Amino acid sequence: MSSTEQGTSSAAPAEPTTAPESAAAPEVPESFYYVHGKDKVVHKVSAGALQHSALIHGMISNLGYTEEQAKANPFPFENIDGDILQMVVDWCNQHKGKPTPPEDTNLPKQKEKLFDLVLAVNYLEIKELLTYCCKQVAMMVKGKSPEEIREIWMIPTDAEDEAAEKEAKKRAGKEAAGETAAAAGDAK
Amino acid sequence: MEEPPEKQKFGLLKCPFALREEVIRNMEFMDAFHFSTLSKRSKQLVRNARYQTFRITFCFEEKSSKDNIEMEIKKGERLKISLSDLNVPPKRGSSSLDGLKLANLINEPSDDYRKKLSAHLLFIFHFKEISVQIGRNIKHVEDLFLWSITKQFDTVGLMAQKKLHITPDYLQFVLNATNAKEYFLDFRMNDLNFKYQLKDCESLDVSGSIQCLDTDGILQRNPKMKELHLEELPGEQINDLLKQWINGEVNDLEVLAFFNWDGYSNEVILDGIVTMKTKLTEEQARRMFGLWDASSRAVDIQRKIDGQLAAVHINQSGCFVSMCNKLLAEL
Repeated sequence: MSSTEQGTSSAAPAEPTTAPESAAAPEVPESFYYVHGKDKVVHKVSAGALQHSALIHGMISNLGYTEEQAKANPFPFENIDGDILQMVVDWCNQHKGKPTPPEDTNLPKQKEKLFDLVLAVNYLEIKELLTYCCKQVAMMVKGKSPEEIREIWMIPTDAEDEAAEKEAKKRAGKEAAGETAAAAGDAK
Repeated sequence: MEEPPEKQKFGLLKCPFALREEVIRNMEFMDAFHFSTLSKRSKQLVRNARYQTFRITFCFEEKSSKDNIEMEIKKGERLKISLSDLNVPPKRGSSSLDGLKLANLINEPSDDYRKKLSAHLLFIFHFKEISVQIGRNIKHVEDLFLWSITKQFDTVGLMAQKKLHITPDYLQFVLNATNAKEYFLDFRMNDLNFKYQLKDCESLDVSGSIQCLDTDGILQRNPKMKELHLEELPGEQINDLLKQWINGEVNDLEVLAFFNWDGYSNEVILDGIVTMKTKLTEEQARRMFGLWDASSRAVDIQRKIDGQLAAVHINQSGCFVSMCNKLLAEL
């Protein structure tokens, strides 16, 4: 149910009810919010689906937006690619209101996007999806030799790490020297 | 001609720290080990991830060619690494992973592959339980390499079906250098000329060379002691231990068991101790101590500081004491 289409929604808080579930209690209208990624495409997502994200849940829990306000103020996630956000929204919708199983077959299969997906899920604090994504990343090196792991995960050798560290120090030194020189110029 | 598919890559070190660690925690044990050998940074990363493992046991078997490390990664998932002194690869660890090969992956200088591998494993993984079992001759001080890595263990076993050939000096070193919660000491040595002052232990089981154990003030030195199982301890020392419990500070002691197939004299064991008629019925005593006959004797004794009761049962196979009030109440 991830969508950019418009639909009826309400931000009114749910009425507390003590009636048993089996009784024909009036259905509480669902609240919807709007999010967009780097591509500015707005996705309409239910509050129930967004509960998976601790970050967004924290943001919306006390907002009390009306439909118009929610539509007018989509949450911007400029650091997340549009297609990645779409995947995340799809996943949240598929798992709305139910716990995720330990082996989740509903995870998007686009492995080439895994890196961006993991970062987005980490940022949005979607715990269950993050665990599953991390498992997927871990499985990339299952049964591989150390050198294969180095290649897949792009792990530098100690010599490469040391060279990079030297380079970073050199750069930082140069930058500091440049700032000192600029400050001295300003003083003159 | 079709080009081979490009290998999928993932810049793990570009991820935030918490994310890298979560990935590590989701790896298979051996994958995490292989990863830790790639660089100093990857080694530290595995350590920081606090990869949880259940148990590691360093086993020094009767034949040094069969020395190994046993690991229980998760409940029921076991792994064995050979630490054999054999230089013939096919014979080394035919039913287990070859420790020498694994040690060669670790880019650190060491003249003993066993030490290098053991130190690496203990550094990178978090084992809930670390144990050592010695069942063989310790010929050289190098065989005690483990104690240069850690002196803290959960369980220590010095057990030999025949004779433990460890020299008294090495035995003294091992016992004095070790801190452990639980000890199983089952061996016979006739030429022991030192007294072992056990400290901070919770469970002790000694059979064989009991004469090296210093029981004077043992409960004071081991205030968390829960269980003591001692074989062939002289009756006078049992009497002293009961007095230590009666006069001592409150401790967690639950069970004392002294085995002796020649039996013990009631008079010696209970000498100078105020006893009371036990509250146990014959049936309860039978269930608690396992053995009961006409010659058995059961009495209660009481700790001075808080009035806690203990049931003392002396029968033909030894003397058994239960401090477990709760157990008594349930009977």
